[in-house]
Amino acid sequence: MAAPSVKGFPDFQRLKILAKDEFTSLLDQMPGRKDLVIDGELMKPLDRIASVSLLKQRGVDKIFKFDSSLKSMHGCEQRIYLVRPRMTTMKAIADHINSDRNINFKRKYSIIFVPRKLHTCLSVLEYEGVMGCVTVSEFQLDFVPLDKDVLSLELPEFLKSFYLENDQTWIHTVAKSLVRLQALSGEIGHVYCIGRGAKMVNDLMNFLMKRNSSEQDFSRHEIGSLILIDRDVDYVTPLCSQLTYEGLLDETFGIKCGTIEFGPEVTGKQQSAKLLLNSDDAIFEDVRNRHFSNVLGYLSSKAKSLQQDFDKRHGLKSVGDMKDFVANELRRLKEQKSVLANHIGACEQILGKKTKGGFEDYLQTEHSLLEGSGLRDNVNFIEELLFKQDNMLKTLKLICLLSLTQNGISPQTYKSLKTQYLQSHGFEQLVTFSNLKSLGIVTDQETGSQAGTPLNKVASGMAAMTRRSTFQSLCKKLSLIPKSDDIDLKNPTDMSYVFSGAYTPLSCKLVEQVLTRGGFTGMEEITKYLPGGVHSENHVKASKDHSTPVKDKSGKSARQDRPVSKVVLVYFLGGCTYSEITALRFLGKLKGYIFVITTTAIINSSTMLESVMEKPPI
Amino acid sequence: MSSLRRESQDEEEYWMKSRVNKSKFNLFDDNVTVENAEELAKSKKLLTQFEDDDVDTVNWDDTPVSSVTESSAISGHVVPPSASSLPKSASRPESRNVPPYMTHSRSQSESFGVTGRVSFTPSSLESVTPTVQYSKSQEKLHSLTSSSSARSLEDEIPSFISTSSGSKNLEEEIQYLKRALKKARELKFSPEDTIRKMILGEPYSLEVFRSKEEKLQLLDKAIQVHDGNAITAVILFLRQTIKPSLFNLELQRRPVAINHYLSYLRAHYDFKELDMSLNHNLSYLKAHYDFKELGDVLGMLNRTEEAAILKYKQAISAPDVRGKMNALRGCLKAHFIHEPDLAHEANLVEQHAALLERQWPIEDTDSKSEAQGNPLFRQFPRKVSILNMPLITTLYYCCFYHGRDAENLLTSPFAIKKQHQLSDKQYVWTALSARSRLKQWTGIEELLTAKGWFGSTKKVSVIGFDKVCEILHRTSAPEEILSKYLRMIDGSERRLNIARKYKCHEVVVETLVYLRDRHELQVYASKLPPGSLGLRNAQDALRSSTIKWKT
Repeated sequence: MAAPSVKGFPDFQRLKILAKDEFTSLLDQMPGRKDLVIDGELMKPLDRIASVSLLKQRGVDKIFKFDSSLKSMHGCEQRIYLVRPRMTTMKAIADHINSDRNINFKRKYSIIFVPRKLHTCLSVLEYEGVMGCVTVSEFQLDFVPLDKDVLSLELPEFLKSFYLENDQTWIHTVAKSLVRLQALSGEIGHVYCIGRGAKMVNDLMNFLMKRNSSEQDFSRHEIGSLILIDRDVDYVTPLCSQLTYEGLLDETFGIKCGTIEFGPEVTGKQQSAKLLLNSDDAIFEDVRNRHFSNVLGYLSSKAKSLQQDFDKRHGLKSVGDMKDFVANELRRLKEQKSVLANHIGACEQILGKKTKGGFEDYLQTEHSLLEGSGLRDNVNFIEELLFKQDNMLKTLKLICLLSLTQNGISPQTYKSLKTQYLQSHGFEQLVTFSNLKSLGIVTDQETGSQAGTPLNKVASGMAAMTRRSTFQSLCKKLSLIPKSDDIDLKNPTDMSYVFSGAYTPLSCKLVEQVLTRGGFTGMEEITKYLPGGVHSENHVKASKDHSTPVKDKSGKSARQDRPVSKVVLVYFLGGCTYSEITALRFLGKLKGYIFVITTTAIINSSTMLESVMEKPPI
Repeated sequence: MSSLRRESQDEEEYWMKSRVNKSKFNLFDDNVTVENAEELAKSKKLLTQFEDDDVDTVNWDDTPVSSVTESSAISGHVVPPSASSLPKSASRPESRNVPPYMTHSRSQSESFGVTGRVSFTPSSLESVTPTVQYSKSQEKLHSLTSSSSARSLEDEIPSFISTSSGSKNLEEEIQYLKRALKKARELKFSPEDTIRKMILGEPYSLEVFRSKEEKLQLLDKAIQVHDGNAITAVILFLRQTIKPSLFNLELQRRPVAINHYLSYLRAHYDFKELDMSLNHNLSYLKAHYDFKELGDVLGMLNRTEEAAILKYKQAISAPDVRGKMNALRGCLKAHFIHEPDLAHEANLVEQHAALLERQWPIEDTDSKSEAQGNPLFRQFPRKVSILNMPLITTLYYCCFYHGRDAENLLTSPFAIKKQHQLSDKQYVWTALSARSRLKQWTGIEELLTAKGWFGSTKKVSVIGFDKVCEILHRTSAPEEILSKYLRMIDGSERRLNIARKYKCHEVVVETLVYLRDRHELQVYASKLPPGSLGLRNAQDALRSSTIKWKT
């Protein structure tokens, strides 16, 4: 259990190894040469756990990306499909099989579902008459460790499926991921649930775990508490423009499964560069959590010191020195130089895009929406973006924020904005507005107070009671909007620095409150505003305290300085942003917690909205 | 038999449960279950006369029946006697073995009912023997596979006969049977256990649940534990096995179930859609049917808006424009105009249809005109077809290519404004951009001129002259034009800032002179390029003695 860990973080490499082992044994179930057909969205996650050489070693001949538009596929006599459980996927696989049958081609098929097989999928296989000739298995790939403190299910569809369609299929996956994690790290003593889905996950987790009621020594476990938080508790934060370096990288270039691809405009060369963004990259680790205003300066000073290191070669006296320099220093310096060049290039791109697109004005509007001031001006600004047919996502974000911060938009403004949005960006977006209404993200104050979706009921009920909007009340009670304007972005003292000191992410503030209060007691004034309610469970007997020094297997009291109670797993259902991760990292440093951030997916404002938008016609 | 064996293997593999079931005959059939159940019921009746209240003392209870069900790897191989083999049991005095054998195997046979397989080949009886040994010796179940073929078939069968002769043994046996039955019923037929199996990914069968109450218990249990997969599976089972009116009624009582059913129907619709687009065959009818069902369910639940949006979504997915226009009109009539709550949406759908009806002929005419080499299109080639473009884009297009068209033509920008009730701001913004791009400066002037009283004219802009300048700047209008409109900006400070932003030196200088700010003017002049008009004006002003500078 006590594996070596980095600075007190539980070691998640074990998850990778387990996943790899499971996958190889699944491959071995079909001995000999075979083709592997992989669902597009599983490519990157799989990349993180298994290499191509490993696949080849296990007899994989060719690797295809799954394409549902293909009626048939070529390849060798054995084929493995590695797919997400979807009915459309099943149908396409059945078509492949049937077309092989039609030409009497003998082939063995195996379908590996990630992370589990679903009844509906099996029914499709049965319906299509191919159940008899496929073997079906499951690959429980749940967490993909993206970094030492970030685990992701890489399941972006959770948001749409659970919050829009109210489908609980993926709750099982979340619960299962926690069960499996606890099998490694030990049971987690304290569980706090914020929101509807959080409670469901906890229930299902308990159902699956069969907690053993006998005395457990929780202090030996690696994780002290678990905070599950629903995305619908806080839609505001992911819609705010990210201003940290990592957040901006994601918004500008898109970080996929911890990797980023810089095009020629960043690298300054012909070819593009793929970078793995994690704490192993020392330069990136230094800047990822900084406010953007504080990045370029650092990078250029880094470039200068690098140059100095390079210049040392001129001062080399002897041939021996020179040999030493070439052997040891040069390689490292060259690598650093290329990494640094990429980051500087990326910064330039970000700066260029932001200054061109009237970002200042946009940000100002965003901030005044959060503050709840200058309503008329904000609406005018949004209308202007519509006249200009400015980026449809950008405009929609502001409309969402307007509604979320005001408990819905006044009927007249709602109608006018909706009409103009549809006129500027296509009437198909009617579907988008309908979706956003169901989610409770963009609502009409009229309908909001009448019925609304079950999700809204809490919020709208509250609105009737207080004149201030739910969001404004939360802001006030939790002081989310810092009073002083001048926050030191270089040496921040508050989580709000991630948004230039304009706003403290609600989700992270709730985490902080729960931890400092040790639960929800005394938070009734706050929790009544949260849709879905809260719930907490304590599995640790009161007498057993974490104060007793703990020894790991080797007998060293290595973890004495790391009482398990300080290790907190925060689980975002429906995804979280890099800004939230950064804010939690900062909170951890400030308050001495070790946060492990787990999420169904890493999202940003664009990916979040795109997942519920109607695609414009081609 | 061996051919049957082979056939069943693929499916065995699917269930992933069998390692030693070489000798199994799969009867995945309801009848078997029913037979078993009847047999069980019969024997229960028979046994009631020997009722014994004591339930706990029998050592059989210690055998972990539950562990049998859970370690499903094993539950597959233990072979129960078929129902038909029971009556035969009546001859040899090997009574001690029998009760455990019977009881245990009984519970097993139940489990087979659940997993859907029962075996009764003679050879399978061989593997029964280890079961007997197992339950006697309390060995781990795993040992059973290794110690098969310990006894012959003949050894086994007579043992049944003997038991029925000795009444004490019979009573004992009956007790075992009873308990086994009870336990089996509880375990294998309980909705809880089935749901647990579904969640753990173990084999299960829903067919054993015949009563409506049990089915609903299943559904409620699945809802209680929040597993979407189980919920959907049970719903589909319900839909198959009870009549629609009952199904709808029970579904309506459970909002969570409704959501899952709708989610399934949506996914299923997508699946059928895919089928349709790939195969272009008869399945269209089927897809239509599923779609109808989705709409019907929404309608039944009074979720009219969702239902309407769904139909709208289907309408806009029509591949060709003509089909889309018709579908939109149909959908509007059927789902929007009669719903008072959807008045606003109805207006938007109406606009969508109207827009397509406008775009269609415009595209038709213009593409022909372009092909014929119309100079307008040669000068400014059309990048894409105007079909399916947003309204504002269409307005821009018409302002650009058909700006002067009469209002009775489809292409008239003003007609578009009128039909879609565009605001003056929307119209001016778009028209201005188009005219500026075309460098129609007089056109811009017309756009911004309002007739005053008594034929006088004045320049007004609904969007503000600062925005006019922004558009002009964006469309790279010459400085002369830009300056003209910059001068119309109210508020000298504001004008100054905007002029600085667009680097309109003349206006900056003028404004600074107007503000009598000599210092700023000096600073600004020092930055101007030599020989420029702005610099000359600035120098003139600085030399002038008539200006009273601010002090």
